[in-house]
Order: sequence, then structure tokens, then C-alpha cells
Amino acid sequence: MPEVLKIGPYHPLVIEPELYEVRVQDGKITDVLIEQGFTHRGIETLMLTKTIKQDVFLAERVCGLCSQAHSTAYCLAVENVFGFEAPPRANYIRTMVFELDRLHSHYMWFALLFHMIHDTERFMVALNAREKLMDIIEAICGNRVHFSVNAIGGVRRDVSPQVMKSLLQLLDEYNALNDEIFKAMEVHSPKLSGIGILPRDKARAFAVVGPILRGSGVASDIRRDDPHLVYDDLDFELITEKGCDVQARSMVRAREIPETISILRQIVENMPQGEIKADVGEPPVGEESGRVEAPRGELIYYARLNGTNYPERIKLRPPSYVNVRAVPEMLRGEKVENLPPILESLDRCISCTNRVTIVDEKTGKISKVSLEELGRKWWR
Amino acid sequence: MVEINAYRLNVGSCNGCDIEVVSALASRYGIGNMNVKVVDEPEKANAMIVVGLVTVKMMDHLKEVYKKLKEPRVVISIGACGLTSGIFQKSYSVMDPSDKFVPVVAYVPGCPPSPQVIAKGIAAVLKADFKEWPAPEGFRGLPDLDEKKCTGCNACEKACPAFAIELIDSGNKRTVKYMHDKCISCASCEEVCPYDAVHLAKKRHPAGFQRPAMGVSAVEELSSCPICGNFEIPAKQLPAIADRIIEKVPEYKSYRADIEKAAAVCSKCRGKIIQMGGAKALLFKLGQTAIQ
Repeated sequence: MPEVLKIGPYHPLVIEPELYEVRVQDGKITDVLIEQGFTHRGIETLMLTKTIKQDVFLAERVCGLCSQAHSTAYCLAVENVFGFEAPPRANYIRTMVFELDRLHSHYMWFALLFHMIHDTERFMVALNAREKLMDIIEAICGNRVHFSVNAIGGVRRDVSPQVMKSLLQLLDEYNALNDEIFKAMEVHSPKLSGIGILPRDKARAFAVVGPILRGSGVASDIRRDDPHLVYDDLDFELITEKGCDVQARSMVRAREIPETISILRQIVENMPQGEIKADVGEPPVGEESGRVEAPRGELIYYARLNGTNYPERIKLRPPSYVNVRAVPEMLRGEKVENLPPILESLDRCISCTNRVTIVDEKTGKISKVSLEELGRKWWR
Repeated sequence: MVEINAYRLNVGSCNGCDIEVVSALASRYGIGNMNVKVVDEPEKANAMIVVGLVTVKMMDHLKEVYKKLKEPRVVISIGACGLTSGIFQKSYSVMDPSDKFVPVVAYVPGCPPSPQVIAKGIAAVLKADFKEWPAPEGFRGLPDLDEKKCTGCNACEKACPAFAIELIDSGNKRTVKYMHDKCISCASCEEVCPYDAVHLAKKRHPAGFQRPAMGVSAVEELSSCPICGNFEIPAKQLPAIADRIIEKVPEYKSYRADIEKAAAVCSKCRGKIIQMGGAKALLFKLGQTAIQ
């Protein structure tokens, strides 16, 4: 019996809520149509009406989970036009907040994955453990989500030695939590393996980025390929998995957490002294770009300045927008029950609050199921 | 209310508020003990947590979901965007704030509000107790304005990316208004203030049934323009301008009164400064000194 599932338009943890129209035949997905733009806020146009300095705050409000990635990429793009490089201590602080951002984003992702596969116990463990990290972030940046640390020319806040000391203590505590996550991935491995497959050549063809690309066995990381900030001085492993499935993508993120912790340790140890912000001078005329490896993949900002305080054009390419094109490929031929974890593996979760509308194509009868109930059939 | 079955709806936020709503489920905030359940269907819910600004495409969806809620249909609006559209005001694809479309009961301001403030807002609806703990050192909270130091120079108004600071001139009085519902706590005002009058206090946002329409304000007296008599330049700013000029060029010390008089000229009259003999002579002298 051919059916049409409508998912959306709202799901709470992605940049843009989307409408997924999933066509189903005999419990298997045959095709997916995706509609985007439900939270289109006109950011690129809005950026032209604010000054270069004010746009830093707008850039970080593109996404709540990649706040530091967006403002860093924007600052790098604009500073490249100025032909300016931030002072070393500023770059170290930027990288430190960047990696803290990645850490809390990955913990949040695991919490939501556990929630999605009805592992409520571990959902609470990950959520409660994350709170300690958020306290440190609040002490460093003054806010839990929108860090507002970056500015054109450096950073706005210095990090005190006491806070760095308590950060190191906290990172030691997190080893136990990481063991818990690895154990959980082992437990859930039979169900998560072999679903949502995106082969290596297809991943290349769809130009996906970030943990999804690395989960398909392609060693690509902007931190290594085009070193920005201080990643040249840091020693870290580029993590890839060969599974090409949901389990592989989860393992990429799980194994990235200890790497991030080791990066944070190196940053605290090697933090240079000196000024944190320098004067960039008068705005020049020119165009440049800046790219970083956000928690979800490659993020590019393009900036064109015309010698005034207001930019002439800002263009951004967020990673989730690129990854969504691979969704039909991942879902085709899958059982409909596997839909929630596959969409979750993209790190653009459709949480339990979302609803699925099932349209029976023959009779036109519309029945509604929540995504949570859809998952419950299979996962518990 | 005795019990909340909340349905969460993102109508166009940056997800910052969403992850804070999820974080608020952590055990330290005690929402679990408060008779709150998160449900996945609007038909099962009697309350809705609306997150973010209302975009053109989500506007109808918001109204639709509100109709499906069970009585008493409590709507809790979250975030500076939910209350006022925040930093995204004046964008072509952003509609009015959510309380223009659905009746909002409780307001939780902040960008994003910390889970404590969200718990405070939910506790207010349930008439439950919530004990908050103090924010850490260096927390960027609500802006606090020192009325004595503020001169009304409008540097903060120009710097604020979220239009949260308003200057209202009436007669010879200027009111500097800091609106806490629009504030995104970016600390731009603190950074640019030349007189050290604004500080982001270590206190968290309030949450409750009232929209925190206005926060702090200062009233400044305006001096009249020596040419046309218009009130434009704040009186307190004149000695400050003279101070800063003299600090940079100590030779101008003897022209202090003239500098203050010249600074009081309003923007319209600056074009016709030729009418003012003294100022012209002063500018000439200043030019001579600068050349030497």
C-alpha cells in the first residue's frame, strides 16, 4: 500500500525546520521530498543593515549550537579583507571556546540520540554531565550559548588562570562519561549498524561535510586541510570510520570527544601571554572568505567590503544545508521505523515533538503518528 | 495551574533557546518535581512553549497549533526573539512577536534565557517555588545604567545591534531607555560607553506574567543651541567633550569656554557656523595652532 509520510515542518534542533514528505511502499521508503525555509530569517540581507562590528553578534545567532563557529568564520573572513591576523593569545582563546562549543554540541547530540532511541536513563546522564561543562562555559564567556567572545581584531574577554585550572579538573572527570558513551554505542550497535547507508563514492558525489563524510571513510577536516586559528600547532587525530552507516557517524562523534578534550588540554598548556585585541584600522575595499570546521562540518563565510562600516555582501554556507541533500540517498529502501535515528545521525534532529502525517494514497485517509511513537514500535 | 503538559514549538529560532529548554530538563533545575510533562502532540498538551521569532512561513502553523491545544491553553514565550524578534527586527521575513498571534501568558526573556530563568517562568505558571542560585563572576546579565555618569551621548544606542536602547527627546529633556525584553546581553553598550556608565550586572533576567517592557532609564538635560535655540546636545556632555579635546591637545586649555560653546551648536546650525563670530575665530586659531 503506497503511503506518504509528512514530517514537519517543525523540528527543534536544526537551523531550518524542514518538511519531509516520505513516500512509503510496503513499509519501505521509496522517495523523499524535502521542503526548507521555515525559519528563514533573512540574515544575509539583515547583515548589510548593521555595521561590521555588530554583525559578529548576528553571525553567532545563525545557530545556537555552532555559535562560536559562525562568529569565528565571519571574523576570519572580514579580518582577511583587512589583511589582519589576530594576536596569538586571541587565537588561542578563540580555539579554546571553539573546542568547548564542539564538546557541548557533541554531548547534546548524544543526549538527543539516546532520547530518540528511548534510552531515557543515558539521556539524563549525558544531560546532567553536560551541565558542568556549561557552567565552565558560562564562567569563561558570560553566557551559556551565545558566547560573544569574538570581535573583529581579536577577542573581547580574557580567560583567568583559575578558570583554566577548573577546566582541566573538569576534563579529567569527563573520562568516565566518555566510557559510558562508548559502552552505550556498543549496546545499541546491533540496531544502529547497517542503516542509513551512504557509500563513500556517494558521499563524495553529494559533497557532504563533517562527521557524515568522515563516517563514510573520507578523511576530510578543515582543521587539517586548511589550518586556521592555531590548529597548526596542535596535535590531534583525524577520525574516520568505514561503516558508512548511523553507527559509524555516531562513532566518529564519540571518538572526537576524547580528541577535543586532548586539544583543550594542549591549548591550556600552551596558552601564550600577550594582548587579546588589536586595532584593525580603517575598513578597506575587497573580498575574502573564511572557513572553519564547525561541529557539523565545513562552514564558509564570504565577505565583500566597500570601504565603509557596512558590508556590501555577506554570504554564508552552513554545513547542515549541504548535508540534507544526501537524505534521500540514505533513506531510499530503508524501513520506515529507521527514519528517526537516520535523521538524527545528520545532527539535525527531529525531536519527539514533531509529528508525522501518514497519507494513504488510495483512500486519501490521513492519520497522524508522532515520530516518537513511530520509533517506539521498533526501539522498545 | 496544577499540571503542565507542554508542547514545544520552534517558530524560527536559532536553536539556542531550544537547547536551553532541553537543558532545563536536567535534574538540577528540578522541573521533574514540578508536575511538568513534555508531550509530542498538541492535542495532548494544555500548554505551549513558543520558541523564537515568528517567520512568514511558520505564522499559520503557530495559529493552527494553538487551536489544537486543550484548555486552558497557556502559552509561554521564550527568548528575546519570542518577545520582540530580538536582533532580527526589521528583517523582511520576520513577522510581529508571537504575542501578536496567540495570547501569551508568561514571558521568559533573555538571549537565550538560561535554564534557571525558564524554570522560573514555568514555576510562576504553576505557582511553584523555584530557588535560583547566583550567576558566576563575569556573567553577562541585564545592563545596569549609572544615571550620574550617563551623559546621554547616544554611543550605546548606535552600537546596540538589537535596538534595545532608545533615546527620546522632548523639550529640554532626553530620556535614555534600556529595554530589557529586547536586550541580547552582548555587552556592546558596556564596550562603547566613554563614561563607564553601563555595566552588565551579574543578575539573571526576570520571568513571569508581565513583559519586562522597560529596564533602566536615565533622564538628561539638553543644552540649547547658541544659534537657533534648539535642544540637541546634552548639557553634561559639553564639559566631557572639552575635557577630551584638552586631554589630547593641552595647548587648547585657554579656549575651554569657546570649545564648550562650539560643541553646543546643533547639527542643523553646524552648516551655518559662519554666523558665529567667536566660533569662527576659535576655529581659525585652532587651525593656526595645528599647523604650527
